[in-house]
Amino acid sequence: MRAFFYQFDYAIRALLRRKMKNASIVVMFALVVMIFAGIHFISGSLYRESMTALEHQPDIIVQNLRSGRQLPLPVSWAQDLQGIVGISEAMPRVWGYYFDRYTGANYTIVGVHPEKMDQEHFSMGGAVPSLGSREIAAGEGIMEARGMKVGGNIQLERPDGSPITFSTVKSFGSDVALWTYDLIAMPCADARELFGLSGAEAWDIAISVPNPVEVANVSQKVLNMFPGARVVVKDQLVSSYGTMFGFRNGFLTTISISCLLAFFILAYDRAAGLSREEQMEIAILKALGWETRDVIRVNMLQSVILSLTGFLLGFVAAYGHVYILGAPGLMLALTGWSAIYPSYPLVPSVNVTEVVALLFLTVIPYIVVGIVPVWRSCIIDPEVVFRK
Amino acid sequence: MSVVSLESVEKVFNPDGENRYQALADVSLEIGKSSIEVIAGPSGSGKTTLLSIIGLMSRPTAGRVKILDKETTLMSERFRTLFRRSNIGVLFQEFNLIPDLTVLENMNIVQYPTGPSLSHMQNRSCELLERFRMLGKARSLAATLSGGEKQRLALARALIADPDLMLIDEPTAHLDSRLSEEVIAIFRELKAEGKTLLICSHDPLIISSDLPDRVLTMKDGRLSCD
Repeated sequence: MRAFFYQFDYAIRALLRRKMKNASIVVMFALVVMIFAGIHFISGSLYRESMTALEHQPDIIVQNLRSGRQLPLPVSWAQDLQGIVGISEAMPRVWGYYFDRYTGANYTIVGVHPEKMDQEHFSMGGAVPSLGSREIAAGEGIMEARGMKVGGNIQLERPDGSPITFSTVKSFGSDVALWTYDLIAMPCADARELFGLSGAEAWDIAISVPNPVEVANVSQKVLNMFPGARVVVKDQLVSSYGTMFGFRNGFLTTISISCLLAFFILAYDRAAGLSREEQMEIAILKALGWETRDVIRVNMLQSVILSLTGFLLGFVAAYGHVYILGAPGLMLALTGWSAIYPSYPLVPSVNVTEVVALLFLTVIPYIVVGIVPVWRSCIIDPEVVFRK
Repeated sequence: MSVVSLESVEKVFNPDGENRYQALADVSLEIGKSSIEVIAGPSGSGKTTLLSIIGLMSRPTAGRVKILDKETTLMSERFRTLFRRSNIGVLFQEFNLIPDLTVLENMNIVQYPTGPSLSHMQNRSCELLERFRMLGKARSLAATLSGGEKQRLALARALIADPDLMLIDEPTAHLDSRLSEEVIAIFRELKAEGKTLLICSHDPLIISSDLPDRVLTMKDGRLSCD
């Protein structure tokens, strides 16, 4: 055991003797890990937020389509749907997007039913307070963009340009910032007025089906009742999001592969051979009575120290880059069209399995490829090395 | 007991290649305990290769090598290393110190694989450094030492395991005559302690002195007794 500690000490001193070379390896290693881990942090966080938000979505959503475009639908559809066996509730919803020309941002406006005020979640993980007429609850992104505080007023415009003033009674602080950051919740009547919808119109209908086995059957019955409607089942949404982030992950996997390629070039360079100075040192140690396994152990310890240091630095840098700085550069690549101002902060989501996989993908190969040239140097007679 | 026993030893480099080179041919040698044997001969005659084979750092192409009555020719690499570590001290012509390590570290690394206690390791290193008047330089980097100091450090390092057999390659090659005399005096001390010394040198100061019990000559890989 003491021999191991002496060799560990020797490994550290040997690394310090070649400071510049080893520092550059650590920096390269850290950069590769930082980009690689950063990509996975972003995609993991977005996917997790999407899936968390979808948990609160209704089982089925019914939309009215004409020429493939979504149109408002009659509220009376909800009463008709309530007659289908298996549906516990059919709730017309009023929602839409609002372009704020003062800030250049798009907001999501959601109308809240007065009778649902205390239990409405909007996929945002928190109940909406009772909202009176001309009262809103707004996401943090909007509060920041408009420089508002709770209790302040915000002026929005009807389709004809006439203003409506709302009082902000709550700011959303949620685990699913992806959904609530640009969200404004207001009473349904106010939302209708803002969007110019009549009292008999809604944008879609949210259906609850308590028995999951019945969902497919119910959705077919809905289609039979309204052949022109689009019926969106929650499972389809889950799979759509999975595909979307899967696609983006695929794009980012390309970047990741480039990073890995850079890493393997680094590793190959290491595997290609040792410097004359390193070969001499190995020959001296061998001549002094070190066994091949002692020399390889010291080399492995050096590789472990270098690669783990690089890995940890890269990992911490990736965490800071993504979750503290908001992933400048990488975020655009991942979010694409959805990177509409206001942006939203990512909620940290670190998957231990992925961390371990990343560790094994980078640290282990680096250690392994380093063994080959050392072993090759060890099997050369010291005399041959000394004579070179 | 013979300390070194060689029987028809040959060493060929690149035996199947274009650059085939026979460094040793039919070398047989017996060295007894507590003797000083000198192998003289010009550069390239095979002296260092012979030391390397006796020091178990290289294998002969043919022949048998017995050290301290142990047949080493068929020993595994691991046992050769362990055997060398305990029984053979080597003083290289170019010293082969690690220049970026301190004098003390150069001494200690020899003991690392056996894992002695820190105090034992330091005591042994300091004891030998003191003997060779190098203790004052213990914290200096090996790269900063003079030729004579490097020689003394290398000698101290070779004695760490208190070996029975010392293999010494061109010990005065980098020294002036005063330092050479100093080194020769040390060799006498080592002989008096019962150690066997095999010295490769073409320095007349050593060959013509009363130091060696026998002088052998190496020429074109063949050994002859003067």
